[in-house]
Amino acid sequence: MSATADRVSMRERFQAGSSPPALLIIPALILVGGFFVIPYLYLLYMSFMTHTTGAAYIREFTLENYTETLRDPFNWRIIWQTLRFGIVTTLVTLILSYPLAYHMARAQSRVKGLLMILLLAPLLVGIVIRSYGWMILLADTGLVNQLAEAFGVGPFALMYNRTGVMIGLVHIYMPFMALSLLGSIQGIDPDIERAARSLGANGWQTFWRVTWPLSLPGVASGTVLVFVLTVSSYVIPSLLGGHRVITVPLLVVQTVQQIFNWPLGSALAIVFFVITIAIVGVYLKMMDRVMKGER
Amino acid sequence: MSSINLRSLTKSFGPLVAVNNLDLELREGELVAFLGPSGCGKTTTLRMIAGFETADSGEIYLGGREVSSFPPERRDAGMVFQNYALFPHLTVYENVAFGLQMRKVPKEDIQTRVAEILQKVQLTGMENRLPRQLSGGQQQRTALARALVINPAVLLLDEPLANLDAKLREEMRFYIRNLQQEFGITTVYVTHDQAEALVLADRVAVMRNGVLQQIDVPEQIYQRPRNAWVANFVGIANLIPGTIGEPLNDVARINTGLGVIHANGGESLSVGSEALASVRPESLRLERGNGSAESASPTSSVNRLTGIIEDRAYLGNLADYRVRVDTDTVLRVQSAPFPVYDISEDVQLSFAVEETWLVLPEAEGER
Repeated sequence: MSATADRVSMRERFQAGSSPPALLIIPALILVGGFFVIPYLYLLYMSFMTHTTGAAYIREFTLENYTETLRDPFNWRIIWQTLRFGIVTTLVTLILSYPLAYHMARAQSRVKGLLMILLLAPLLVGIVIRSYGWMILLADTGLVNQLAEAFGVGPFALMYNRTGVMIGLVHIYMPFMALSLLGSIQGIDPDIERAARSLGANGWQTFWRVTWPLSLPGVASGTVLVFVLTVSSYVIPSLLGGHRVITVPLLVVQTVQQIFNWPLGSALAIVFFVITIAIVGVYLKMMDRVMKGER
Repeated sequence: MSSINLRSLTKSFGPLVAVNNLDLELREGELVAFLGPSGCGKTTTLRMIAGFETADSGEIYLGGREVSSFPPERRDAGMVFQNYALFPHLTVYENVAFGLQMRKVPKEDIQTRVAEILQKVQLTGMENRLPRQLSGGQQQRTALARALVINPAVLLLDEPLANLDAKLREEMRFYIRNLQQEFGITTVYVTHDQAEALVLADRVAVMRNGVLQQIDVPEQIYQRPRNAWVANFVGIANLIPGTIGEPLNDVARINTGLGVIHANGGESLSVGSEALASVRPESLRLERGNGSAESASPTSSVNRLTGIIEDRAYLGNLADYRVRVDTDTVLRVQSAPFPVYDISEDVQLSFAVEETWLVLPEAEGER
């Protein structure tokens, strides 16, 4: 009895201690406001300004940048290609990560720790270095092609094309997917799956009727995270695509740095931002409906 | 035909032998409680029957089929988990219908069967609730309905009442017993609660360290424990150690530090071997006075001792005394709360020979 009383009072104390939450979000607010919201607002502002040579822009309102962006079929091809990278990478990381996350969620704690280290270790190495690592492996005379040659096949074009970009994106963003899934699969009591089995469901039926629907919150957060990271990725497509594969972030940077057209680059960035937000919004709404239906 | 038959079932986790060479047979429609402290192997045994654990060796027969190589879904065993393991994303109706859907039962039949079972467990009207919208007792009954609706060959219950409050737990004992009788279903009931096991079970299987200590009807388990460990685990036991003497007129005798005690049982014990006399606290009768040896001489039907009241606890319906009968022996006596014996008062203790039982000193699997 006294143990219960202690626990309750501990919880009360904890709750009492966290009563002024408003103050606690201020540092995060400053960080997000100062380094994200304000630059974005500036980008928005710039996208309505007039292009000029010799300066970033002149302060003259125009819609020209948007009409130019939206009219150019090349832009739309790049937008579609970028979104396709996002969708395919998200699906591939989901399919590759789910079994891994499931295994980790159900593994003994020691095995789980080891797998966790293996999963997180790549994140300790910078994204540029890892991309160069892939270049060593995937180059025409790289390790993979040397191996293929030894078996009398190849060489395969694995780099400076979509394949190379895909390999890099999947590798780099898989931990984000796996961690999201892990959290939600860990929350599923293994006895619930056992109950399904004892009621006559085989492994697949148990997965589709019980495990998958219960893991949907993790699937939703993982897919959104990887999709957003992928479509905004710059380093991987630029290094592994060798500027032969263009995505929206690359195009924006090119417009700004090589054509020196800040307003046009800004407009393209804003258009793509709106498209991405819209896709994520519709997707989350759909997921929500699916999860409500399951519940 | 027996419904559940376990033959030399063994399971180890690394160096730990969780279940050691277990032989057990349940009759059709019988409810057997697996009773033991945590880690005794009772849950592991249940999980092997259900198919969630694979036995290292031995055989499991369910309804005459050898099922050790079968996955859980082919064993036809309804299971109720300690935390109920209801599907949190499905309604009560969908939870109960799940097993029937897996068996490809036609939709109309599912509706009638689910409605029937929900009525039986008094959950009619709760069909569209989610598990988290139910009370503990309702969740428990949903879990029972879900396991029973598929008409399984056997019912497996893993500490089904452990998460309920004391009062509801006591009611549910009778409820589960009645339901089990109504369905006439062979049932394994895992519990660490001895009262639950004694109330519910046709037979109680007492386990310790993976070894079956004793399996018998509740009365025998309580009154005729096989060894000192069982005597102590099920209820309170006064255990007086000694060596077996020559029996007199078919009554066994044990020479203890308190003198000769007449007792029952111990047929398997040879003269001169170590044993203990086990007496339940309620079998000891108290009387006032230190009674001279003449008036209190033991007979072949009643054992007598003298002692001093050392401590007394009032439990409402009875009083619990600690009576010192020897420099190093204190006996527990539970008697009616009146008359009251005071601390330090001299008392006489008597206990019937038929309520005195000889037990083996070591638990099974320790020799």
